[in-house]
Amino acid sequence: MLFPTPQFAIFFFVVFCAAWLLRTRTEPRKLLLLAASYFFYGYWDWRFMALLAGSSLFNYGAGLAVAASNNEVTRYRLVALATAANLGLLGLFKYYNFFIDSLTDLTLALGIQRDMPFLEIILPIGISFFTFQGISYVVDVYRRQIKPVTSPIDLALYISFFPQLVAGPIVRASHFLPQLEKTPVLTRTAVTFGFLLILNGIFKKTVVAHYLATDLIDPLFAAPEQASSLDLIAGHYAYVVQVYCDFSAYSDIAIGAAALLGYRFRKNFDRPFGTTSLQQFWQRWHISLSTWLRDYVYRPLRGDKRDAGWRMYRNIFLTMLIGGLWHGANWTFVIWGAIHGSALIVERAAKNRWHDWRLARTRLNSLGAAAVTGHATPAPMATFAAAFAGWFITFHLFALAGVFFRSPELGTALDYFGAMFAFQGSAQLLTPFLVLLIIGSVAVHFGPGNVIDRLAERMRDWPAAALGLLLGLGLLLTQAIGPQGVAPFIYFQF
Amino acid sequence: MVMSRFAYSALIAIALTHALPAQARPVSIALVGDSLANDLGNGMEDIFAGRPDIHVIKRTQFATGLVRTDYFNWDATVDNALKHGDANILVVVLGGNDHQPIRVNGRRLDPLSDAWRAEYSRRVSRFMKTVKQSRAKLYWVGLPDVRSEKLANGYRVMNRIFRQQAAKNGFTYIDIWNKFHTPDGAYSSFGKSLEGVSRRIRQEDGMHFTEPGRKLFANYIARSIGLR
Repeated sequence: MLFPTPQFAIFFFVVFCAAWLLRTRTEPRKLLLLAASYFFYGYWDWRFMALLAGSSLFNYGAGLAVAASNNEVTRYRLVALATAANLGLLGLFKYYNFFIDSLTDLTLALGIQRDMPFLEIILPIGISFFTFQGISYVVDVYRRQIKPVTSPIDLALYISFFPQLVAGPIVRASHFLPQLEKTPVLTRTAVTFGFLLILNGIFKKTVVAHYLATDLIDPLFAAPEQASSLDLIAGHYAYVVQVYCDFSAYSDIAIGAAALLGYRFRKNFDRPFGTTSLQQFWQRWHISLSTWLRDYVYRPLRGDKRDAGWRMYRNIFLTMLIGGLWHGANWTFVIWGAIHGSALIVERAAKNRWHDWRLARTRLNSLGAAAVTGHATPAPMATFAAAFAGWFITFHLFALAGVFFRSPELGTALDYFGAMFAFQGSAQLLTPFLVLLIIGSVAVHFGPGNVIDRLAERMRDWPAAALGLLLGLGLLLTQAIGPQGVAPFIYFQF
Repeated sequence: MVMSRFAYSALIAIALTHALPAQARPVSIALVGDSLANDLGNGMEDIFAGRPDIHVIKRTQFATGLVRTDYFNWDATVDNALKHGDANILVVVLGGNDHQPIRVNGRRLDPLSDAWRAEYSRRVSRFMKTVKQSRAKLYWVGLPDVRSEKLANGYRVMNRIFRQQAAKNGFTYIDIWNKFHTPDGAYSSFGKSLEGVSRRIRQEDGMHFTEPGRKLFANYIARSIGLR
């Protein structure tokens, strides 16, 4: 069931009404939301409902077992076992055949012809998200950051809650579980906020992402060798806008839908194209995954040791490599992760040196300036130039690496770059409308943040009819200007 | 799985550009159709990479078919392209996106209903008649089995339509339905590659082909049209 469809609208309307009828009855409300979430998941493929339930039950048991032990060695072993089991499940469904296929490539390259044991398995939708949630829950219990839930219903609902089930954001137990125990309150601000977010998400997905995908990106990546360099250059910019509008739209609708049911999810994107460094970028792009990787990959890799030198660089690289592989079982994602890992290392090393140099220079200047004026001032042009250079490098690195991210195979990415850097041909697919969509979508990232929160606050006192009319018209307008049909969200595949 | 008018007009330009190679070659194969035709084209480019006497032209467009003519009109596109084309073999793979309702004069025809079949047959026939303007030898490749049972059921029906209309319109129909099955006749994402070892031949979506699969697909079609 895709979000921007009549099926989801009907489903959500029914759940919304039933959930608010049960607002004071906590346990029946949880059961209702759990049943709705399993219906939502089973709508794609009912066979995987047992997998989802099994994963939830396993992590429920693991959380209780970890918490029950006071022996640190036992606790460590239990959490390691639970993590390995979660990763094993993900590995089996997502990476096993990739590993076997890569092994076959290797054996063929060595001149050995040997049949490998492939498994005919389908990738369950959302598995990357719900296994990560399971891991974070058990690890948080191990770290004593949260107490284990006593009811399996609570954990099953946390993992399967339908707004975030198939494509995130990766909600943390410590943030979500306490909300389940409170009586939800439906405020006018929350309703307006939820509807505005959903409207914003539907616009980004069905208008911006859809036009860019169908008119430019899909034809380009289908046969990059046939396209002109100008189209391909525009296409690699367009793709980062598409993936942003697609994925942030899913997050917006998820956060909006949760808000309408009385739950608050954290922001998953915060104007990432306005950032001036890669480090800043990853703090504002897919925030729930970045923070997950920081807390459950980077920090365990770092351990108790000091975060500096080659060890820090290695940990950054490995974290990004794992982040890349999380997106899919394909060498293109490994390369994408390696590019970002390497770039972050270069940026961190350059920043350290730059920082040392500027510190020394500022001290010298301060001494001189203080002697004349009493204080030192930075040069505004130099600050602007540095910020622009930082933005330019960050944006272009993300866009160039995005070619690997979008390409179904390594060969497609190489063809894409080959034709793009041939600097031949004139634009055949690019139109002023598409240019406007790309530039406009990037430009809004330089505006103020929390626009929707503030707008919701301002519209709080509007009459319900006016609010409903505005939102209804917004939906109709989006429907009218967007292309027909709804493409699946990009992050479903992960 | 849809295509808008912007790309439609642009595609005609691209199709025309690529339909005009600098010089004719002894064998020029044009692949016409959707993403499966593109898979076949990529596979042919790979297996004929060392054959300068064989030229592969891809006139493919993702997410198109004969149902959503409001988004992409294959009749018009092919009509334009063929007037300028020089292919001596033309291979069509279409229909993968067509298991959906057809709208005719505001009426919705449910997929695979009698009315849908009649209308779809009419559209296939009309498209074949347009393609017949080409002097090339004409082949229509049926749809392969896919993982989704619902889609597979639809494809079976559509393949019967393709076969019937191919016979009426001078196309040679190539049946690939069970070419990628397991020995016991079931759909599989894996199979023996051209190198003779087990490989993933179908993509995760249960429909499109991987690189080894594309070569396998291309090899079978090349044999069927007498090029291997």
